[in-house]
Amino acid sequence: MSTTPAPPGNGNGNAAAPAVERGLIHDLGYGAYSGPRSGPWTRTWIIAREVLRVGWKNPWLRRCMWMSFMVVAVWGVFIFVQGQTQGIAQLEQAKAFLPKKDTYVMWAVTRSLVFIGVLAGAIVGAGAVSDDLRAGAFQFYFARPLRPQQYVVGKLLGVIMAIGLVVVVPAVGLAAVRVVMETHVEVMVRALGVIPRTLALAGVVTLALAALAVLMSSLTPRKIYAQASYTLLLFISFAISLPLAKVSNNVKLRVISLRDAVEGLGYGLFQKWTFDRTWAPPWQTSLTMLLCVFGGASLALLWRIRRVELSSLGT
Amino acid sequence: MILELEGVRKNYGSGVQALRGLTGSVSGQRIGLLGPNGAGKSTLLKVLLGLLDFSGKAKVLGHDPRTQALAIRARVGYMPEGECYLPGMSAVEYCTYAAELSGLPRTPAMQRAHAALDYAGLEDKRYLPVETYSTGMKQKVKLAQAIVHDPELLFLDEPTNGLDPRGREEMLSLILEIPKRRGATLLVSTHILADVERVCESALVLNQGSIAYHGTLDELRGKGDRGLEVRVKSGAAELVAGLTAKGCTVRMDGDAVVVDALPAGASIDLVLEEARSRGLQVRHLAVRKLTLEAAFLKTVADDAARHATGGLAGATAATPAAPTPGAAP
Repeated sequence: MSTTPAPPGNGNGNAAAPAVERGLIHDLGYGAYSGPRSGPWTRTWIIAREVLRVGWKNPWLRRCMWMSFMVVAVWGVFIFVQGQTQGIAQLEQAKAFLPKKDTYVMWAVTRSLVFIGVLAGAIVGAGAVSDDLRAGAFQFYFARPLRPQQYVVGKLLGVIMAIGLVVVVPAVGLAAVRVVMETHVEVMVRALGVIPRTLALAGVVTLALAALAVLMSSLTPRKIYAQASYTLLLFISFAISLPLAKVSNNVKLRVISLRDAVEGLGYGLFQKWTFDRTWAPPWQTSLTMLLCVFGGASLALLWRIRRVELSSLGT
Repeated sequence: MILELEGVRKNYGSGVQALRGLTGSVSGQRIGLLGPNGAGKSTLLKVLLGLLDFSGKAKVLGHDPRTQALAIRARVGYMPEGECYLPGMSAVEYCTYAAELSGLPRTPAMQRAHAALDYAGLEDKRYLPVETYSTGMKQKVKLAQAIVHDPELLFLDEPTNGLDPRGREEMLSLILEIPKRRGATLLVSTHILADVERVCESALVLNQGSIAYHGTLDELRGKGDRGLEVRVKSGAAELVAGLTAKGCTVRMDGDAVVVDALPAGASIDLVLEEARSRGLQVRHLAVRKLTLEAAFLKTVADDAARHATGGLAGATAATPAAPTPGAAP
């Protein structure tokens, strides 16, 4: 934590605070403060920590973590069984048609954890700003030495950490399990690449989901509306992306669904055999889409918060 | 000097002139910010906190709101009129959070949150969620969060809003205590003139985006109708006749004798001598002053008239003379 010295004196030219008189009203020690003051970006972390604290108090976030744990356990079993079957003679011929172990890690992210991430985004992210809007808390925040950028980054960081708990942490954990299941050190070392790839995939999807959730949250003071619009947007786009791509015969259109974009990016990162890649979106388009969602939603959020900042300090 | 304003203007996009060239220096320790709705009080507070762009020059505690807004906000505490608590937070969490956001490290922030809540009289309720509090307790929490980081200047917006008489009295006592204890300056924006009379020593009156008055409350009350008000047990008409004969401008106002002007060089003793010479018993003799409410309304009306006649050469305010508590007007 960076610190700067306390501002000297006060506006009346008093270099030091007057001595505290005891026994006046509710005198239990309120007096001058002359200690250190933290740097401006520390406040970003304070806001992020508060978002995470509020999220943690919600039992649904903890349930999401349990679901993620179960997902990791199930996909871990698949990886374990895959490893055991390699030695069975009758399956040797079929090995060519079985997915590689890394693919299971990718599928854990793109086919399971991403949905839990959506749920966590709705639980934590959709209330991150709407609760402040409803409570008039912008008067509280922006009468303090806090920039809108710090507020936005703090809220985003908090939601990213909350979603990361149910997406990134379990995904990386599964990738680590997949590595340590190898019996030979040499193979284990070669398999280490799955960890950064998983981190990148889960990280990008977390960023996109968090930014979208907080943006939706900033549009309405009712948390339930923010949650509904966020989940509907994601699930409707997921439902229509494949039919739309087929009708238009343009596979790139599938990236309108964040989940499909995540899968497209997964194929690019993992380069593994899958059952059907005919309608898989290109990874470049997928990555661009996910980063655009994150960047666009963050900028829109900043614009929205600046507007709210200037309109909410009513007297 | 707390505030220094020089031609501060703020126009909103819709063509509304919220501030029309405010000029003046504001000092003092307990200042009331008065004005009718739409006078520009909110806009002025936003400008002072660096939340709104404006033209002209301004300084708050020596800082420019355009370029040093964060430095200003670090030294200013703001108690808003509306509710601004964070859902699910207890009072102590809320005040700790407020202190941390104002730059205090976590441990001192928590210590000061407890001290500020003790000061505000919320000793045993501090661990309950703020949304469960009564209106009076919420007002106290708002005061605690405003003072938790040891500000030098406090903006208090309608601090007694919604309080019953007892709660109002408690709140005013707490507010009055802050300058004594910490040397902090208060800028109290309120519509309740009795609160201003109780807490403030000077007033800044805004009207139609300009400063209609800045000075001590006594000067504000003394604006316009001056003169002496005399009440005698009986024989008021006799006193009027006697004073008129001695060159005074005198009239009756109800049962009171009002001396609008004394002859040149004469003093208040002239009235007493005249009464004594006629054997009249004086029961009341005072400089005639307006009530604060009447003075406020008159100030606003005079300012509106100046606007209407185009006589506003420049909305200015001078630094008021240091008030002398308890002195006769």
